[in-house]
Amino acid sequence: MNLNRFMAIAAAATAFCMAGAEPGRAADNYPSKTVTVVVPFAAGGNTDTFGRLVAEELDKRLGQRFIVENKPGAGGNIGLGDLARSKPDGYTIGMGTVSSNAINQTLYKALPYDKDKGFEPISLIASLPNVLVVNPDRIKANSVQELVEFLKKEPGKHTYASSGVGTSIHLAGELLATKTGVKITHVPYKGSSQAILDVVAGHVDMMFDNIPTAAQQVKGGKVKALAVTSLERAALLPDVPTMASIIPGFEATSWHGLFAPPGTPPEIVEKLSKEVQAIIADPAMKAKLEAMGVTPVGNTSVEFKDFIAKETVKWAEVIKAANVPLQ
Amino acid sequence: MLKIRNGRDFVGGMSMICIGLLFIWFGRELEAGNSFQMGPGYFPRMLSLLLIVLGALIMVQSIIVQAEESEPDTWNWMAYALVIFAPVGFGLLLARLGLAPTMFVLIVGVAAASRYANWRHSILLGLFLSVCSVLLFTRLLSLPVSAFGPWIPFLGNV
Amino acid sequence: MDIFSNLWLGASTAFLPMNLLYGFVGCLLGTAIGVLPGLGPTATIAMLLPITFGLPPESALIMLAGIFYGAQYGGSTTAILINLPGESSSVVTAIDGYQMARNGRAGPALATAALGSFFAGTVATILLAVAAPPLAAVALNFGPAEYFSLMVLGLVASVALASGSLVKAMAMIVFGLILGTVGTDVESGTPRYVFDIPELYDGLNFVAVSMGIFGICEILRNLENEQERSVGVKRVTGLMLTKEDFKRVCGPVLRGTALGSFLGILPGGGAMLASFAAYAMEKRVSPNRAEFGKGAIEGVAAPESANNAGAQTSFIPMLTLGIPGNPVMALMVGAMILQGITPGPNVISDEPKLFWGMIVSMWSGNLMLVILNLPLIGLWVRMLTVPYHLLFPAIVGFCCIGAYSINNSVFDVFVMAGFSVIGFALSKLRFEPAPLLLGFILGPMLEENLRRAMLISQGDPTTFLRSPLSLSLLIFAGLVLALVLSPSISRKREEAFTE
Repeated sequence: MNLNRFMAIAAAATAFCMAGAEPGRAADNYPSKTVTVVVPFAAGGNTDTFGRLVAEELDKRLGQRFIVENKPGAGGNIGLGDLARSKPDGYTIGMGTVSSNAINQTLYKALPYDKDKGFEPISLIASLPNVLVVNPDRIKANSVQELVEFLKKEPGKHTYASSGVGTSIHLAGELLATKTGVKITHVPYKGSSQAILDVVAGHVDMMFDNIPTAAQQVKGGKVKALAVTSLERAALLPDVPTMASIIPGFEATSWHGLFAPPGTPPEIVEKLSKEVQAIIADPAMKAKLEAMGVTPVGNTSVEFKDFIAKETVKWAEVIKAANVPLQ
Repeated sequence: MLKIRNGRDFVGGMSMICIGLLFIWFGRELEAGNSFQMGPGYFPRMLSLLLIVLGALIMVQSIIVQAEESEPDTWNWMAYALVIFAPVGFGLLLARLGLAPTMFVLIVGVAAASRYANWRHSILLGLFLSVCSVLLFTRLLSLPVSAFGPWIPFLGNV
Repeated sequence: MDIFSNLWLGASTAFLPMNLLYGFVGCLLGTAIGVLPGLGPTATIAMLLPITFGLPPESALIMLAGIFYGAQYGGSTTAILINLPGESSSVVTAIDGYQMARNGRAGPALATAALGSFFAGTVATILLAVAAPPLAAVALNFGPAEYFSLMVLGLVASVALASGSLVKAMAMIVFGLILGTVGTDVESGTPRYVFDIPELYDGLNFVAVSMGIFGICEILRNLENEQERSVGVKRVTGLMLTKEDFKRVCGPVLRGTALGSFLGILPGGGAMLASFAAYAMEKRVSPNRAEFGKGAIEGVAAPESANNAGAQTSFIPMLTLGIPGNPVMALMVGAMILQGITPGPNVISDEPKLFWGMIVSMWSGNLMLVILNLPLIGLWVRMLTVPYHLLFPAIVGFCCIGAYSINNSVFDVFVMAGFSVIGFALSKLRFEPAPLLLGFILGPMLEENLRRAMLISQGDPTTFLRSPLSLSLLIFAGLVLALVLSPSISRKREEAFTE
């Protein structure tokens, strides 16, 4: 091996990388090679689905491969740790959710990345409303008001299921408890499918569940929907009122967005953000997402950043008020 | 006078007791709660205690019951070391060398554990399997690992 | 609509040449990937999922189902040939299957697995077609209390897996249960035994543990007494079942199918219990029980049929309620959502073509699997004649990649290496690994359901006795325990007497 030649190549490679970080020119020829999209959850889940949909479109629009890489584990922390450690040159970007980017910040005592540096938000892709469903045999209530009255009569006697401690589904339940002062027992499960099954079967009384699966159970008459947790009514359940119309300020959606590692040149972030906005605004994509029960968003990086800041504060308050043990 | 009739079980029982104690020690900060309101530490602690009891039983048995005659074990420390450390090496090198060189090193290293090992065969096998695994895993199944990592000049994917 | 017109509708979808082709390709890919050590059904489906994105919904699901069957059969193949169970349900297949392979009877073992699975698959598919909705209602009766009692029964039955000392087997189960507590506690969210390693928050991975304890550990033992070039495998005698074999497997296959079909319906881990409950039962009732653990063909037939019957009926909760019962089903639901179909209680009436097409294709998928795999048996068996010094490096290599592919992380490779040391130490001390793995699988489910039931009943332990279903399961567990303990107690007495 010719050492000089190796050094020369190494130097050239370094120079090339530096050029990548240099502002201004960076965005013009970006992307010039394959981009990795880290999905910090397992293949086949919601986050993975949105990640793949957007990656496929970015692929078409920017003329480079956008490859999805699943790095599941520890509530998204492992994948995000990888993302934070990767080179901030725009060639590694990643998906994040309400749990991984707004709740875990408070819930976990230690994160495998720098909490304060965080990530560069690119764009919020979609948000999924949760819907409050009750088992009709166990809970005689046709509205949230009736439910609250019913629960107040028998404090501590009723249960709600969730997909795990600290998930947005769990915290929505805690939000209900703190906002209305009812006493309900939290019954956590590993994932939401076991949880909704036990609500359908009547082993647990109620739960907040992501709308796509819950809407099917509502239509099948297995459970009753009392309210949705988004600020607007959901297309899949147009007759169901919003939580916020009954309990002001009640919003608990599960959202999924695209992020870049901290320190990524702002030009690249902007370029990607504009592309994602255009992808989400595309009518075909919009229709596809809406059919899945999802609210397409596609906002700017600044809007997304503000949104995350607000969400982080909101969930931190809920976690504190509900005394959720930190992990 | 106590005589250990089954040395293997004596050690086995003792290891079970040690494992139980280890888990109790490492879980000492977990809240146990009570039988009606179990905390996160309840289940592991009960199980560890149970394991200690079972370990003690095994030890008692080893003193009372004679061991069945069995062939003495042969030990092959070289082979153990190679086969056990090969995956560790694989894990450490994969991100740096990439799949193809790592696989090659792994195969050639592990093959040396056999007494029939022969360098020519090992190298051929290593080459064959690294080509196969690259084709299968990085090309067809798009496992997120590059064929050549950043430590390999020219070919490496930085 | 009656059942025949439904099946006709299904057949007209499933037997479209395109769909048959996709089913076949799915089986082929599933077998090819699943037979690599460490790549079980979940990993295989996750890897191959993107291939199905471009297909119409029916074809995509048919292909995924094919991949699932193929991968599952592939997992059993590695369990039999190289003592490497690719997923939890083939742990018990490895016990007798691998011994059969060492006795030169890998062919009959694989043939038993293939034919037993096909028979079980056929029966379970018919059951699915005839009675899916009422069976789903049965599944709903199982709440946390009932699952806890079922897991207790499963644990008691797993003691029967041991062929050596009972106390040592129990110690292994308990050790496995303790290992199962590693990771985040579901009820409180408290991390346990994670030592601040983020990868441990989700617990130890089954595949990594089992590859270390079974696969790599077996290589270590083989290298110890490497007298012949192909280690320990006797001359291969015949690939197909003899008449005698056929007689012996009939009963186990029938019993395994019945047990598997029932347990598979239960989404909270019933299918996992199926294979070893079947094994444990066979070990009690078989006239050849002395052979168990040394290569009894019943020990392959029963769990494999139970496993495949359970795999079919585990579709019931997903297809009738839209609720996935296990990770594989969750992936299928994910695929359906991507195709624009959200499965729910109405899927039978809203998408009859899809529903009945799936059911018929389950059967055709099983058929294809048999057609594909019976001829392949010769090939697999020939693989055993590859000189061992060439075979084992390849196994170690694929195990490493398999462990890596679980979470696309090298952490699981280290876990595998660590457990190969533990497994090796245990084997030197003559502890059996199978009960440990079963404890490891059952542990989290046992604890979760126990604590969940207590939470729901507000700390009232009589909840386990008030439900008739739970009570009868517990009584049954007590009976099995008495049955398991009684011969060994009397044996102990005799031993003490002769001292």
